[in-house]
Amino acid sequence: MEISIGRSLLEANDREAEELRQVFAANGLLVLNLISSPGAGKTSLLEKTLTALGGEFRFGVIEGDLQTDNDARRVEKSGAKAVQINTHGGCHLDSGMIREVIGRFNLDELDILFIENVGNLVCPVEFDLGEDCKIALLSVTEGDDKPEKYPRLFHLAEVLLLNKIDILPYVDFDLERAAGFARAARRDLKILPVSCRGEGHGLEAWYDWLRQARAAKKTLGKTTTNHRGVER
Amino acid sequence: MHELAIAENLLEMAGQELRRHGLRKLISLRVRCGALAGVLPEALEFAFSALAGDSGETFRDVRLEIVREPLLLRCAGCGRDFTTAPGSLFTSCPLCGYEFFHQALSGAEIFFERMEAE
Ligand SMILES: Nc1nc2c(ncn2[C@@H]2O[C@H](COP(=O)(O)OP(=O)(O)OP(=O)(O)O)[C@@H](O)[C@H]2O)c(=O)[nH]1
Ligand SMILES: [Mg+2]
Ligand SMILES: [Zn+2]
Repeated sequence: MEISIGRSLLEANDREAEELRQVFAANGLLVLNLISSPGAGKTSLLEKTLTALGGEFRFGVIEGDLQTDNDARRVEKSGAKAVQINTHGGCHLDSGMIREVIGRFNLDELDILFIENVGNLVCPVEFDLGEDCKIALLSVTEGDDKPEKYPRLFHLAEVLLLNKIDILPYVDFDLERAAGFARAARRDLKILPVSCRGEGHGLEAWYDWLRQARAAKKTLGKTTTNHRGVER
Repeated sequence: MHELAIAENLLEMAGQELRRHGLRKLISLRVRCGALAGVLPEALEFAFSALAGDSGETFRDVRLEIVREPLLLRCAGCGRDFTTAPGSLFTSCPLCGYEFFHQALSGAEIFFERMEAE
């Protein structure tokens, strides 16, 4: 017997992600999914951001790693609440994993939720977590051809942080070339060269983007309440 | 490596269909895989046969057919649509030669198209 199916093999994940998106929206929460290769600097970026903007926003962090809670412990030093997910070999976070831990936050007491995905430039891209945007990181030690080789992430991300520019003098990384291919994958991609080492560099532009994204989300959240006729 | 998660979903959906139709033996499956879906057919086959091998007689010797879908792009230069087999976003438009900024209209999906069972 022949049976035609015609269903997406990612539909379970997508359905749950959509439910999460509703929950996040109801709380006016900005949710960002951080994706990069292992070691590009996702946790370092979070450490810098949470420390610098801790007085301005209430942050929550979900850390995804194969093993250990090292990253959750690192970001918790800033005072933000962090929850660690260990995937035990899984190469990406999925929406079911997020749903399982979301109850550990008071969502209405947060402004911005960061999800640091498992270090991997390919698989996490396919799994919607209910986020508002994907944020890509690429460090200058990885080679300027990565946006050309793995365009999918850069096609879907809203922001690309080119990290570790403090070591540009020691590596052959052509910023223009990397940015060119990344922008070829997404014309309106926001590209920000930064360093998370020491005092940091270029991070103000990232903070400004965050402020603006957060404000936009809040306004959007308000509009939604207006539609329901609850507020104003 | 997310092929493992996809293979799990495939087995689960196939199992649901078998139960729904009261069938006992799965014979073949066909999956359509977009060029941008980041799925390696060999890895999917491997993950599937590993899982199916552990799932009893129903799933023994199932034939998995993976069809690669071409990528459908809208040219940023001339606005016309074209398909490309290799599956890169960076392909010259066959109509005007423009190389960059194309918009992907489809090619990121991974679909369970049909199955055969008895
Ligand atoms: N020189 C330099 N080193 C950096 C910078 N950012 C991060 N690092 C270093 O790069 C290494 C990896 O940084 P992490 O922040 O742990 O990277 P990650 O992306 O969170 O790594 P995983 O979670 O394991 O995927 C650490 O040794 C950091 O100190 C930077 O801007 N410049
Ligand atoms: Mg980390
Ligand atoms: Zn064209």
